[in-house]
Amino acid sequence: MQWNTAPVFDADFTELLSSSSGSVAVDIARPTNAIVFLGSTLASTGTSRHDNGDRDLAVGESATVRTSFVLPQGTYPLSIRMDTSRPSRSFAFTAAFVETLGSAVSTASGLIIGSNATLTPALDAVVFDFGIVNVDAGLANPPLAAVTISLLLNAVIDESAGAPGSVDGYDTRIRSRVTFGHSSTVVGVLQQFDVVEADLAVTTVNSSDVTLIDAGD
Amino acid sequence: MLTVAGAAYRVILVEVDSVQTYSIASPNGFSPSEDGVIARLDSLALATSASIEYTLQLVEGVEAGSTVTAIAGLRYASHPSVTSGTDYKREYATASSVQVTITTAELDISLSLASDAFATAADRFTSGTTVEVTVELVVPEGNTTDLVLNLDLTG
Repeated sequence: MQWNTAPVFDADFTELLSSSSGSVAVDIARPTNAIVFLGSTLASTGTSRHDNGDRDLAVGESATVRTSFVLPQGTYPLSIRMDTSRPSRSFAFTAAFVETLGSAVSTASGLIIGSNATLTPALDAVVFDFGIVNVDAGLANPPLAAVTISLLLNAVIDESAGAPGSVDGYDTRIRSRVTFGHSSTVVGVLQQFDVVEADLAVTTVNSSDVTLIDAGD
Repeated sequence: MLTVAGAAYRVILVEVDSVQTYSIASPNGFSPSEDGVIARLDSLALATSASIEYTLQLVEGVEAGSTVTAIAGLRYASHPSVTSGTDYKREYATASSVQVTITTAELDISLSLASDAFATAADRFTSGTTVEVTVELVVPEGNTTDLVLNLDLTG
């Protein structure tokens, strides 16, 4: 905004030009990202070993996690990567697919409910590339379920030699990262695990004082 | 599984935590091999233990004086089932052993009778004295091979 002082009627006066400005900013909503542990194949492993509170997983045990995203309305590229980001691999991802796709969400990639992720050569990383997504902007207050994507991932602690992180006490994790928008903004969340191994010992003793015996005894 | 080199034992009875799981008369589905019986345990809770008691009988042919070793081998897996497609579980094994020694033959020799009344405790005899010595050999039960009794009268 610009304005002047009073118009000049006399040479002794100088007209002053003034200006002022103001602004407001709004943040464009970002996807929210959440990950939750749903269960594993062994009931006997809990959370008490190593890092207290982290889920314990034995070698060969499978865990299932759900990661879900509440998408803002608009049109933008969207990609979701699930990995472990650990220096030593312990997980092998065995299944990853789209569990739910909100009714207000349309994708250019053709990914639909039940579509599998793309497994990377790393074996512990998968990618869901939704391409350009459109989340219907015509809805004033869309229901949460209509703008939510959820993905299910099943991962097993791999016994093979190619998984040096499958050893007792190793901290591992499943990370979910959503990359969206033309500036490739990333939002990530983690689910932490401890690899656990049983260490059974066997001891043998002779009953009573039997050390010298005869044949047939 | 309890194994013994040379099949020197028969497994008569197996009890897991004082509950009989196997006997020769009632094998309960176990199929003992020549020298061992496998006792399978349920999952063990954290920091707990199980006691397995094997009652063994030495076979008659075991050799006197030998040492017999009984090895208790423990095998377990990180997961009770196999994930389809790939063998993801890990196998572990450890072992411990005990030994018993088979009784050996015992030999004893003593002076029973001497014709010379002056024979001394040091077994000094004069010429012409006749002596009678008793050799006692206790042979243990079982199989003693190449038994030779050698009476050396020299020196």
